[in-house]
Amino acid sequence: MSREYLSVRNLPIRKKLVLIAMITTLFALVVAGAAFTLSARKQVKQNMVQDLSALALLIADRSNAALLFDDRIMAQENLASLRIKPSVTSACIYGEDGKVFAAYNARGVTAEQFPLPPDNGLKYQFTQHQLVLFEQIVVEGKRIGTICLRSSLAELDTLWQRYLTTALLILVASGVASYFLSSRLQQIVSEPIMALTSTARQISQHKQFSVRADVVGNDEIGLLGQAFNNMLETIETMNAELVNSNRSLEQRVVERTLELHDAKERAEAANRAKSLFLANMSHEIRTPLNAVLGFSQIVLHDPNLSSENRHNLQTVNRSGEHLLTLINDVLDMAKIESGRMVLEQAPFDLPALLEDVTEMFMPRAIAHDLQLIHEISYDLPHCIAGDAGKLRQIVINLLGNAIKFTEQGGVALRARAIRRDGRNWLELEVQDSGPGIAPDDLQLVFHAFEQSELGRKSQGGTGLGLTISREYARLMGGDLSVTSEAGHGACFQLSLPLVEVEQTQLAPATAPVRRVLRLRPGQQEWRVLVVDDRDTNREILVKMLAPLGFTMIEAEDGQAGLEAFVARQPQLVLMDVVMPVMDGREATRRIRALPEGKEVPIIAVSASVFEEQLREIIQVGATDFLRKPLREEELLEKVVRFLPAEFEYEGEAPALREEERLSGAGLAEALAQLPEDLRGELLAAARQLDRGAITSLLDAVDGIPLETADSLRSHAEAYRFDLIEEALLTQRQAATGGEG
Amino acid sequence: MTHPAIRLLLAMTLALFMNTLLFAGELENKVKAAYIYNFTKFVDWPNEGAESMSICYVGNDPMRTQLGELNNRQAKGRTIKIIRSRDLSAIAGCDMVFISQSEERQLGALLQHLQGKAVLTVSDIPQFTQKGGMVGFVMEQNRVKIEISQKAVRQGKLKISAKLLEVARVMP
Repeated sequence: MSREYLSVRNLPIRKKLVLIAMITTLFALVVAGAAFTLSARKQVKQNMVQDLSALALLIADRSNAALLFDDRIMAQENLASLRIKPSVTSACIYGEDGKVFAAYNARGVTAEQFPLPPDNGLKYQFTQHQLVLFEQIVVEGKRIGTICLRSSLAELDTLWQRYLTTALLILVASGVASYFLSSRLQQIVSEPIMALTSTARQISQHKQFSVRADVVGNDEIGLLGQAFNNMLETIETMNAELVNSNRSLEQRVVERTLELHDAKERAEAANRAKSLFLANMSHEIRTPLNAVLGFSQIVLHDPNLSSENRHNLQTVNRSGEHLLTLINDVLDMAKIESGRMVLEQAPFDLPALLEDVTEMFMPRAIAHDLQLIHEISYDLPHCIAGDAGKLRQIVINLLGNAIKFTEQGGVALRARAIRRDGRNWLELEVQDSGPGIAPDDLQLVFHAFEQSELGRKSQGGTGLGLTISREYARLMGGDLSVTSEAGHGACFQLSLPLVEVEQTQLAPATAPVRRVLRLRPGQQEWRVLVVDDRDTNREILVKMLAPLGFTMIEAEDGQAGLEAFVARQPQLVLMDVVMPVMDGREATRRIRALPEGKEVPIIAVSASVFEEQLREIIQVGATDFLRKPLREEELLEKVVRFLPAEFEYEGEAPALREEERLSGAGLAEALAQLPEDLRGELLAAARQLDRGAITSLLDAVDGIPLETADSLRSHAEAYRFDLIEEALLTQRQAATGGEG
Repeated sequence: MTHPAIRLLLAMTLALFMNTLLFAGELENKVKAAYIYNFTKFVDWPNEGAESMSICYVGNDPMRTQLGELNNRQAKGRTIKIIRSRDLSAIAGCDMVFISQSEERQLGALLQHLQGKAVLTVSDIPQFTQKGGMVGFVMEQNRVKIEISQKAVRQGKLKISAKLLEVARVMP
């Protein structure tokens, strides 16, 4: 039932309307037809009764005399006149006594028993097939008999049938007519709805909100259409707004992206500019420093120099060197920040390095009455690949800080190898029992140019030590972190990836270098080409090498250098990198392109602090490089190494390696010439591993022999405070021994 | 020869027959009286509107009882008065006159007297209508039948309903 209901509900409106019209029409027709037929039937019956009654009365009237005068024949004749009315099947007249007086039967009708005339007022009675009608025969108000007529209902049935047939025909005809009419007329209602529906479907399918429904008329459907159109308009407007706002949003995103991009570019450009500025500054500072240090070294060779002037010049030289250290520190930071710090990857003995550094700090720990614990795990690999110098710098920084800030208790250096994330790691920690670091300062300690309260109070340094250490650690793929509680000491943890290598890859110790005095006489002419755009730089080199017997050729740019090379065929070229007209790279490349320039040693001389610049010139063919400011020893070392000339060396003893030149007994002897106070201060500074203090002392005190100062300074710069301390202690022992 | 049983049987049969005769005579009179009453319905008298309708009776009285019953009955809105009279002058004022068979001998005089008067003459005298009477009773198959002389009726200036004529034997 519900399914039928649903199926009716699912019919299209068109069919619904037709159905409604049909049902209404047919219902009205059936009801009207039935009412009409029934009333007609009643009417017909009444008519029949009336007709029959009239007939009966007529016959009754005519028969009263016969009845009164007992004339049955006459009465029968009267009844027989009913023959003209075929529907009357039989009739009879009763006498006053109720007995049948005369009877009549239509032809072909078998005689029937007549009912007794009713006593009550009943005049007629319909049975299934006939109408029985009684009329009293009255004469002057007195009933003298009764007439009874029986009429067949065949006529009525026929009529009834005719009525029904007609009604049915009318019903069918009206049904068909109403179907056609409603089919046509329903379009008035259904067509706008269907149009609306198809519009709505079209819109929902194609999402075209620009389509509008045709609005016909002002009825409810028209209003619906208008409302629909209004809605569409609203949707369209909203869509348009949405699209607009999307577009403007996209536009804004693009703009923002561009702005961000610009900002990033600007920031990067600024950073590049900063790096470039630092590089340039460093270059610009190093260049005059080169002159200061170079000429002071040259002048110091003058035997006629008064002792006072020599002292003054040594001070100038030391100050220059100190300035250079400070610049180097800042430059390290700048290199790190600009991502231009380059790591070395060479094999070294890790436990030996750690022991070395610990040894170095031991005297200072003892001086501070601190316990210095050294715990190196036995499974720590001996030979690893990495940047030993930077690792050394980190460990020195950590231990130096720990000892500097700890007043009592101790400092521990622990190292072990662990395996984590499928890799081997070096876990190194430096723990102290110092005042610790306030939580707010914990992260601050690694920030460049920011020193903790304690750090600020303590003197010296650039405050870059921990920052540089952490950056080195990160550069090496590890990290440096700190845990601390104020009042309970601090613990710095360094973790670095561990790359173990074969023991055999350890670099062989460099052969000791002896101090060069001059070229051995009687050889061929040794020509050295110096290419530099700055006169002072050229002059320094010339003044450093010419006294040794070299023939110096000068050129003021790459182009001139190339021409001079071709003209004079020097056996060694010292090539500045940054020059106008043609720079050192291009000149080197061109020389190497010459047939006679394939083998000649070319040593690049650069004030640049960036390794990649040096690497670049090595790549285009330079044999080696020297940094400005030049040190005479370094220059001579390179010259000796690359020039197959014969030299006369100082004294009979083999020259020491540069930084060990005055180590051991030599340096100890030299130290003996220094004032007692200075030695004590130097020892204290060395024990504190305070590079800056040593440099300051060397700068501040006059009359330190140049060689001694150089030696000490280079030890300090190489963080070999142990060597300084050792020399000082050796000297002290020798002195006490000599005394004793 | 007369057996008592037979005598009894004869006696009983006779008694029955006599009874039947007696009964028949009484019924006949009763029917005739009814007919006389019924005639009032089918005959139109000129004096329509009179208060009473007088039905006169002339002769001996085999019908006296039956006719007496009609006294005071209503006919055409008039009250029937049964009058027994031998007075001719009285008869002339009647609306209807029944002449008994006993008066057969003076029938002529009676009819003579009533000539031209609006008096319906009724009698069971045989051939009454031929003798100048208007309505006569005749027995036919033991039933009372009516004969009507149209001529006499016309002379009496009476109108007789066609219905009555239908059931009667109309004489010329």
